[in-house]
Amino acid sequence: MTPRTAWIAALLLAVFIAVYAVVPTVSEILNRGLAISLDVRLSPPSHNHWLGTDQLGRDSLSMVVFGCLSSLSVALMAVIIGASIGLPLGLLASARTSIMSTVILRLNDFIFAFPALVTAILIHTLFGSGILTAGLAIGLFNIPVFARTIYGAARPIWTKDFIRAARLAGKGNLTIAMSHVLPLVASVALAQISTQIGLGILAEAGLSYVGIGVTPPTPSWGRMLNEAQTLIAIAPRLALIPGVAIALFVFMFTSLGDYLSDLADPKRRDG
Amino acid sequence: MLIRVLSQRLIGLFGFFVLASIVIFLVVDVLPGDPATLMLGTDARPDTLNALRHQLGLDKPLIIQYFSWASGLVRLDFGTSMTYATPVLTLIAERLPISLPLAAFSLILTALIAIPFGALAGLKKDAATDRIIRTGMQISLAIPNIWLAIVLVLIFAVSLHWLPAGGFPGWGAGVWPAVRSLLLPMVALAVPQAAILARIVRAEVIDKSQENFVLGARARGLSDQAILLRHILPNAMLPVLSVMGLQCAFLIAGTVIVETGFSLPGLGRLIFQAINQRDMPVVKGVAMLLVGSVILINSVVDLAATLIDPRLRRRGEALP
Repeated sequence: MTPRTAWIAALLLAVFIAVYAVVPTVSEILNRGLAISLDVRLSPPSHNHWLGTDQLGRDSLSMVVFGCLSSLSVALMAVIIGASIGLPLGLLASARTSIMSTVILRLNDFIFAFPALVTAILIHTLFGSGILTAGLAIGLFNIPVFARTIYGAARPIWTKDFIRAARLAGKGNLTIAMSHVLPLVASVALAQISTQIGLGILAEAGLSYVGIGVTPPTPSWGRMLNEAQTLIAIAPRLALIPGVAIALFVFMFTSLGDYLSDLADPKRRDG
Repeated sequence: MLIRVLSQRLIGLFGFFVLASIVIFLVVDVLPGDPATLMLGTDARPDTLNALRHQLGLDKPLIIQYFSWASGLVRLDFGTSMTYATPVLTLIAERLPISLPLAAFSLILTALIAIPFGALAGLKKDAATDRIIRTGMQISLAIPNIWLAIVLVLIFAVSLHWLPAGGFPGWGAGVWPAVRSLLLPMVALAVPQAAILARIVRAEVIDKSQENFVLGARARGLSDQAILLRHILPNAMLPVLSVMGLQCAFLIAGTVIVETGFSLPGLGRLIFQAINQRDMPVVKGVAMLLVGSVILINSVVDLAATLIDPRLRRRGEALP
């Protein structure tokens, strides 16, 4: 990943966030577009509806903009769950002080055997579908992902001389982990966070598509794909819009993640 | 030594299966409250509820319920579906001839795309070819497979009429019509996974190209092609194999989602219908099957890696 692409991705993201956060009037106008109005259904792009309308007359631009909020909140929730549990676990396992690390690593392998879809199906039987179900399911799968990455990055650090020096200075494992190991793996964690947000958006689209993620009427990219599919011969535009949005956002987050992980590991900077 | 490795792995495998069955049992049967009420609704008559509870064995203690379900799993008895009134195993067996070939073909296609492209990118590191392939990988990774499925249908079914847009004629209709209806879902599943795998292949090829045995082969005057096929790729295969093992989990989940998109009557349709109809024996059975196969595949890949690697064999660690 070249720095330029990464900067473009970061810039685009910043623009999107600014649009959502700083311009409330925009969201108000867009909000009106979410209303169902059957007299303008399936209308092609015009100056009233820049991206046209769907089978219920909802403005496609509004739908795709608000779908972004659903996708991002699920992906962020999943990353928060995954990082806040997986990161300490990986760090703890890397210290390899007891059978604790074996237990953590085996537990990781175990959670890894539950694809987010299966977890979502299981959680669905508890809470039904919704943003919470999707975020929780993807988040649980993120735990071993973060734990593995942090473990892999932190493990070699523990054999370094400055760790031995810290031990001689009488510092405990916890202090060493927090003040010497964590700062060195923080960049790896940051890269992983960016990548997992991207993959979380993909996973959310899949879950909402099959109906166990975000529920209507909340706009969601996966849901839009699902509804557009039956209209593919009449209005292919409806399927293309959310698809391009998903691909763009996932591309931005995963590219940024790649770039950050290259920065974190100088050996991989060329690859 | 081999026996010890094997027995350790088998015990671990068994432990994972037991743990997975406990998790699925707890989440589906215990945590949501009374399954009978959930299935029949809150306005059901008490005697109907009691009858269903008795039929499902819910009047017995939890531990007995778990053991009767888990011991059934061992005997390949997944219980009886509430909506179909047929054994869950029969329902699964009817769907497997679609889901299993779909997942398996996708995995093969993933490798067929990823290995040549990844190797080419690795050999031509930093050249234009490499940059084009890498951008292609980055983009394919970002495309949701359901969207790819829709676009493929739009091109090859709606516009060109080359392939069916969905549905499955059954293997009885002949091999070609059946494979034809699996082609588009296969591609939709394989392309994003191939992007992930190709990155690993590329990294491995770059890594192995710097080894001394490649330098030696080059000094002996071997052609680039021979070096790649005989020295670089065989050595790069082990990490590629373990990543493919991990990808199975994504492929299995992806199969379930993509099947829905192509209205294929596979495991996906079975489990989603079961969720909507609150047919818990089917949900438990299919979930156990999906998780079980991920656990099994990863253990086999793990074990295969220990057995295949000649370096481990030479040290006498894997084979006696």
